[in-house]
Amino acid sequence: MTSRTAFITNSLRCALAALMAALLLAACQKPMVVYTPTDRPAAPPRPEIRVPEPPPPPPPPPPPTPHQAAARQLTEEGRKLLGADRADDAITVLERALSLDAENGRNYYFLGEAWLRKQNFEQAREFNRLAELYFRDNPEWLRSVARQRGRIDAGGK
Amino acid sequence: MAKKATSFRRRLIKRLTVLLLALTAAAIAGVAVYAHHLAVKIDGRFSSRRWQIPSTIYSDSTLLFPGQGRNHDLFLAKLEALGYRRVNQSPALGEYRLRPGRLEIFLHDLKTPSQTRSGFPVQITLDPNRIGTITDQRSGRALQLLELEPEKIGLFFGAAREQRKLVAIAQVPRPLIQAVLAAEDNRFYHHHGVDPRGLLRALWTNLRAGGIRQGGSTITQQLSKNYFLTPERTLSRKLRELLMALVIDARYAKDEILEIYLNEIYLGQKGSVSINGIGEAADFYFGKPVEALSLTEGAALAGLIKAPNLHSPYQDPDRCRNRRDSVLKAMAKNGWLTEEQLHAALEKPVTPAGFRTYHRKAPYFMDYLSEQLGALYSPEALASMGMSIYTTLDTQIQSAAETALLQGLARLEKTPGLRAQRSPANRLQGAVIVMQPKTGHILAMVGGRDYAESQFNRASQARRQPGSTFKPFVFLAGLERFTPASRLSNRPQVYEIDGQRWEPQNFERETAPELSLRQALAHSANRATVYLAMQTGLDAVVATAEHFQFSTRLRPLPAIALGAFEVIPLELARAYCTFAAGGLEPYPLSLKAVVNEAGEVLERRHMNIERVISPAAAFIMNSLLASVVTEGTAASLAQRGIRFPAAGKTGTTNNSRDAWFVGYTPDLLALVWVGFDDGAGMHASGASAALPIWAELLKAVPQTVSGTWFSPPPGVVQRMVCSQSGQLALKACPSPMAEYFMENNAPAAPCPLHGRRNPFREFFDDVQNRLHHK
Repeated sequence: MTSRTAFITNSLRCALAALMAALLLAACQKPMVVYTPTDRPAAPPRPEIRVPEPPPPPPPPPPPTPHQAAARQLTEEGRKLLGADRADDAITVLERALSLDAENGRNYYFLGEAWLRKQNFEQAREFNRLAELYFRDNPEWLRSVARQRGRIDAGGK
Repeated sequence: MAKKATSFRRRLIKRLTVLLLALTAAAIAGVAVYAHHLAVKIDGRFSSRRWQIPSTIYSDSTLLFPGQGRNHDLFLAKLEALGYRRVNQSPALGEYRLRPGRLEIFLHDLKTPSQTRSGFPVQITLDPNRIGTITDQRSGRALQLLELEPEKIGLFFGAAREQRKLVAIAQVPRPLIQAVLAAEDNRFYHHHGVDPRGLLRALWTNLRAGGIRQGGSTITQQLSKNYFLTPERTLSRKLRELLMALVIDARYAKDEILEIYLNEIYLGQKGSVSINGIGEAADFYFGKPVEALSLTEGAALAGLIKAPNLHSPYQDPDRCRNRRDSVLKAMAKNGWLTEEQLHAALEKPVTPAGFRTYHRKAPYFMDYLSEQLGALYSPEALASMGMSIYTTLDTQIQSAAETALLQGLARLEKTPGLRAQRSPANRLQGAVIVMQPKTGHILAMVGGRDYAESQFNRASQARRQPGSTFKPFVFLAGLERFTPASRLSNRPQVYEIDGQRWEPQNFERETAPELSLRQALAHSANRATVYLAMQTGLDAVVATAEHFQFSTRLRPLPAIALGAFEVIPLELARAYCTFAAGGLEPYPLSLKAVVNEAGEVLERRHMNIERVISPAAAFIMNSLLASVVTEGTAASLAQRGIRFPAAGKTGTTNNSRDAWFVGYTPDLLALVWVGFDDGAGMHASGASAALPIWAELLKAVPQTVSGTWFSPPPGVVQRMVCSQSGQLALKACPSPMAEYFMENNAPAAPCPLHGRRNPFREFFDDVQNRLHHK
């Protein structure tokens, strides 16, 4: 290899190394933090290996508000009326529950059920969607909602 | 010769006898034919619908539950309106006792299309502003929910204006029947429609007195007179009455005749409405069903029959008592009371329930309801078929709305600067609509300040410019491209429309050259709103608004951004319900059910919803409209005692012709409009004229306030953004703030205004942010 070639090669290597160093330096700079509502704290030092403690129990759900408690009572009444095949009466009671607590997934589910029995698939679908929205963190109920949607889709054809 | 005369006399007598017999036979035949005619008439009348029973309109039932807020005065007024009487001893059916910190009440039976329930005693503990506990006193069991029966709010009368509650003879207590017989016809079960002994006795009494002191009419005769005949006192009418009574008695059982009589008799007057039948009289005089009447109460009612208004306990309590005592003594004389029972009964006072005039509640709501019913039933059917019509009206909210409006208008008319009150035909007017936003139930409707003055329903019939209350629909359209943190130009701008120059002005002197979208809506900045509308596209604004089914044709002009077209207040309220209902627009509902006399449900109406906008868009709008309340043109609500989360929008049109406030919580939406019918200016804004009325209304109905707020649905994210750039905040940003965005257009770029530019650093930051916020 000629000296010229070697010079060029070495220069390129140096430039590449300098570039890598610059990149490394930039990466190692203290980051300009973007604020987020859930800023994660710095990772704690690596603990010693030991038997993990049992996870803390999940916090208990907050107690229902008076409106929510009353709404649940009505939802239960609505459920019983559905069971007695009194769809219209059930809807009346469940609508009352809705006026007290609009985020009760069970209420929407049973309203969907009632409208399904009355063969009003449009309204049933709307309430089914709402049940899905308010049960989005409850896999068990979501399965029931999905099954209900299947029945609605089958009936609406 | 003598022989000849005798023979002539005999022939004459014979001929006269034959003639007499013939005439008698003819008379009997004539009477028989006439009797047959009467029988056909009576049968026809009794077999068809016997009475015109007006249909009754009911409010919605009232729910009570532990922890619920309460307005003490409205609550007690509600109990009174339901016919509960306040007593100082342990309450019986239909009574309540108020003691420090608790209410004891013996509930009426509950009857709605969905359920029936017998009355029972309940104790309700009362915290200062809330209901404490509710206990069934039969079992001691705590109740999570209690339902009070619907309240009668009106009747559909026919021309006769008779109010009547039909009862079956089996429902009538035996002592009441005996009291009526003792007072009117104690030989009812023994005669055949006409009582000769009674007639002779009356004749003798009247001859001795030299005038009419006693009638000899039996119950059957009275029924004939009241049911079929006119009240003139002529011999022919009396003869017809006698014959008719004989026919009725021959063709119908005694109990059936008595039942018709007890439902027919006139028993007093309630204003312009007559009280007919003992069922209605039991409710009117003693506030209870006929089955629950006591011996003395039954005797008092029986005593009214002869002269109801003269012996009414509301007109002359002493005369009523004297008459009642006469009836009790007559019962004892007939062997229906022992001496002890008589003496015990005579000791008791007559205690009526309290005079309640027939008062048409919520007249504008009733007119609106009538329009809905008109599509289902004729006025004749409504006035005669005795249907029960159940509505969505909440009488406590209705009362609060009427009071708030009247007081608010009176207050406005006194403030300096407001145009002085003009003639009664041109007084300041207002309208209030209260709806449950999820279901669309109309809870209250006030269409004007005084129905007697003007029946024009400004809530459902007026067309007024919405002004700034239309802006939320502009901002909603803008959310497709813009975010709550987007910067909008608030600079003066001239627009050219059809060759005309137009420069919108801000109502408040908002001088900042730029505002965030949130600030622009909160402070109702006209320039920024028009800028947003122009950037979004007027066609897009119109298309968005049309989803809300306004009946007015909307035109894509810049002035639409400022609400320069007309809307019906009820339609505007319904549109706002969409935000509170997570994007679902409900159909306004006033009617819930119609039930016939037999208890069969003829009609049912349920909530009807339609998806108009996404839950994410609705949530963002709720958040923006909450800023109107926390930091914008409705911020004075806090000083007016509204401490719970609420959202809303003020509105004022050009020259202050219209003042609006539409405000809502997750539980309730209320729209208030104030203005002159002729469009004259008020020199008052939505914030000064309509908002205070809204505040007074909401404070008066704490039972509707849950204090909750909307939860972010999927599709909504929260980011920290720079308040100056609207982009993701950096550490160097002086005023970062949390903001909600729809996930599909949340900002991803960091703030360009603050922090040093380092391309490598920006590259790593961008990668880090994307990974962190995934």
